[in-house]
Amino acid sequence: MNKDKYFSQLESLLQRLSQEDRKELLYDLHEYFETGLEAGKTEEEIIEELGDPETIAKEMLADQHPLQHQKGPLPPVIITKKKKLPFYITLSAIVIFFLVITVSTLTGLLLVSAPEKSIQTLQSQQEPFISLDGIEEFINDSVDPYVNGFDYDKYSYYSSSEYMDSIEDMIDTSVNSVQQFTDQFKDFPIESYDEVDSATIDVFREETIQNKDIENIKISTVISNIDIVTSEKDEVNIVLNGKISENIEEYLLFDVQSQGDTITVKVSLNFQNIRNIIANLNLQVSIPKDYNYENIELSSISGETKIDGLLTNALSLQSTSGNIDLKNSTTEQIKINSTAGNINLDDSTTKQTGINVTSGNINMDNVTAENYIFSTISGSVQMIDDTLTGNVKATTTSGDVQLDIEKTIPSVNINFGSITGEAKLDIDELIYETKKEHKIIAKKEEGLYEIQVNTTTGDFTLFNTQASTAN
Amino acid sequence: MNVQFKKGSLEMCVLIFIHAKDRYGYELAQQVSESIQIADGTLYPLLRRLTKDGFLSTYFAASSEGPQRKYYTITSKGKEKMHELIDEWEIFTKNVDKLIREEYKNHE
Repeated sequence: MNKDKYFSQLESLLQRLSQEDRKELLYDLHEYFETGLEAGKTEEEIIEELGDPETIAKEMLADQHPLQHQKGPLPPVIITKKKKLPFYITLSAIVIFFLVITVSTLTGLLLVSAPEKSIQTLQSQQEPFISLDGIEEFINDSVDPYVNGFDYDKYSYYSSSEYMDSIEDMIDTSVNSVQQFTDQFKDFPIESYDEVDSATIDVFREETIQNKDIENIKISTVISNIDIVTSEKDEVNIVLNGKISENIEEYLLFDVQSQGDTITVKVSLNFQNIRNIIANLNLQVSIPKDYNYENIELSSISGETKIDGLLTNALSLQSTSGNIDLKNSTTEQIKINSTAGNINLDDSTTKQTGINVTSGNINMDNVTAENYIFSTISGSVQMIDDTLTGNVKATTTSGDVQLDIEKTIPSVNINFGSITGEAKLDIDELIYETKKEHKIIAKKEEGLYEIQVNTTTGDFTLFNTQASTAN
Repeated sequence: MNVQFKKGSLEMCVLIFIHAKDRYGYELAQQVSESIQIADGTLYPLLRRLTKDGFLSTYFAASSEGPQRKYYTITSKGKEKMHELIDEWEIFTKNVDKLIREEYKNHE
């Protein structure tokens, strides 16, 4: 589709709008087109970003109050009829009533059928009337303008730092998969350990895999902690142990598969509607030391995830409510998604770190990365390090963001924006371009790294221990 | 991200973006797309409604790139609306967070 075709299609779909609404919308879209072309995009690319004309038209028709539709047969005609007709009905009913009384008084029961007929006629006239509310509901129900909105590719046009955006996309995608994972088990009540008092049984299950080609490890569990450790042995050893209620022991699934270059471990309970159970299980996966894996993926519902000394290219961690602790690890890329668990990263090295949580807090201590991307709703973000090694992008709603740099702060650009949150920048040699209550643009020297913090109500603190001690 | 979440927050986000800085449509669409993925075209019906409801107003001015653009700016009524929406949002997310923490996390 090209621009002309796009607009002619759109115009024909907007017939029912008022002239003014139509004119404004078409102007806006033309301007969008011009701007896009100036930015070097093709017509096709722009059309893709705009979304199809039908989606826009539906949204426009649903969003503007139907009373203001001036053209087109459907809503205005009905509104007019609906307003005027009750008056006619009342008037004719009164006239007919008097007429009937008068006439029937004169001619007896002969004309009794007449008023009935009149009423029937009126009723049948009323049938096609559709209430205005009904139309709005109908239009609103049939509109879902964001269906075409999941266009991850278009992100790359928008950012100078495509990689960071693509990590954000991955976070989004993983959030969806966490959601699906959670949905799958949401009818799966597991009571807290202290509240139940039933007989338990010891669990010990073990698998050892000797496979020199292992590149990927995927672990998912609904009822155990995950503990990843390294060992001197040249094999992968997987042990599930702990205690579980006696009556459900037989439903505990411990499944280990080794296929090609991938090991898959699953721990679950093959039993629905379990209440009052005890499940205190730990899944320990011991992997050969100093071996560089390609991809490690762990997902857990509520158990704690602990990782120590891992070497992998990509690391992806998901948790609904369990905490995640990662330390002494080296990866190219870390993606972490959690709903309510806290995330703690210590003494690790990575290039890209993308962490997305809803209410859990993020704590980073001595983690070296080129890009840090944090996104939280109410969780806070805290980073402590000797110096800053990369760009930081933190987005929160109400969570506070705190960076504690203990020694030297390198040259940085700082960009803080918030609605009601405030920033406290306790570092030397900062030159402010903008310094408002909720908006700060500042730089130190030539700005080697970017610190970008956006919050709605959260505060931002950048603290330099060395500087404040010197002062 | 959940479609219903997006729908519920888009109006507030648009007001917040325009409150921060007057913007023309294209610029705004880029900003919004960074946090909420939508088809850019669906932003305009919302802008039109917000303008008609008196929360936004528009003016024409030369952009930094040169050509004239239609800029959207927030009215005082719009600011009130924005604060109202943010307050509602915060109470809402706080309660949902609390629910996740207390009802979900403590009862696994």
